Amino acid sequence: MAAANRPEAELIASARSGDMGAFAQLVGLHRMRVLRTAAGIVGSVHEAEDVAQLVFMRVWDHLDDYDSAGSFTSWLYRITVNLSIDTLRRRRYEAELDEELQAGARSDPEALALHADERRRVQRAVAQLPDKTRAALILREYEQLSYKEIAEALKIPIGTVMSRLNYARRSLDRLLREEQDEQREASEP
Amino acid sequence: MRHPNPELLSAHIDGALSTTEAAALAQHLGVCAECRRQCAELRAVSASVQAQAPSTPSFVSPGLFWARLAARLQTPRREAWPGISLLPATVFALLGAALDVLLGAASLVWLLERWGLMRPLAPRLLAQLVQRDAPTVLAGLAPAWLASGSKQLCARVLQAWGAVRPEVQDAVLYVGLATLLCVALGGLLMLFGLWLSTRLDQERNERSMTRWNTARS
Repeated sequence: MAAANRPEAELIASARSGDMGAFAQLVGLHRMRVLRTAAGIVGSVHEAEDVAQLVFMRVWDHLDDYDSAGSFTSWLYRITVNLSIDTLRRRRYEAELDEELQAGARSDPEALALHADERRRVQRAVAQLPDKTRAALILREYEQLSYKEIAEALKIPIGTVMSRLNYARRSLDRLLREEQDEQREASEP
Repeated sequence: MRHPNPELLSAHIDGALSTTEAAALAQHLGVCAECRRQCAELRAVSASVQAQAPSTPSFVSPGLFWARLAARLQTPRREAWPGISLLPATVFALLGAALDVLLGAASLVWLLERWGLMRPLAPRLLAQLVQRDAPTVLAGLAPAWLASGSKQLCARVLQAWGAVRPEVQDAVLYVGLATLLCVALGGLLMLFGLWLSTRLDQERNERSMTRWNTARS
């Protein structure tokens, strides 16, 4: 299929002129990076798909705002990070409302058992990081972006990228240790 | 022993340091067990986060993802007007502009001839036409003015108009008519071009979607 090998710039130009086929190919090229990044930030595969849909809808509507002098991928990551953080804020607000309604009726033993799992443990620690710090960490660890690319995607200086990543890793290290200690204490008779 | 900035250790495990910084840090790590331990911890954290990255099978299939997305996309795009291929519109706008320039040049020539600043270059057919038909046009407009209640204003305009020298009257009428014609012609051509652009764009979209659906199936 020759059309599948069209260069990205050509696909963007065609999509800009309303060519949905070209846009579908663009989506195909970038779908996974958007999904992975969103999943890393919002911490849920299901929600990441909603975010990814919103990201591509926004891209479709705002293709004319994309400056072709810059990297399309960085622009896409920026939209993904912003929409993921928006989703988190909305979710927290809804959770607060939910908490008020349920007034402390929690602590499901099964859920606690799930949290003991290593995967969930790291995810929980990642979820405790500040949103912008987590975004930088996900772009680095999931997407393997360079510091320069992260700086471009988040529109921050490279020095800030460096300090956010350092803060994220050290915080995670501390959080994971604390949790391990708590579990050890809980399991001791 | 003076330890390096902690941020440098984090950047070091990402290979993000400059050659000079990396060399200096490597030298320090060679003699500092504490910094080596910190680097190892940072690497372990980094690896455990990387291991959380969701894999492709975790998400819905590309086909389903696109099907859901396509159903939500606004078509034509929100910025469809600037986004469509404007080639036909541009061609027709340029054609309209070229005609406008021609008419403008003809007006200028006619005026220069009329005022004796230039030797006659073309028959004065159009000029005569305007001279002959101008009073008829005015006579047609006047009742409309009167009917709209602007009797005094109309009378004043007609009086002022009557006081103007005939050659200036000719010039005003000719230039006015030429301008109207230019605007109408240019505008019509531009609108036609835009219509053609949109039409071609829609057809291209349909073709493209058919190609995409065929390729996917």
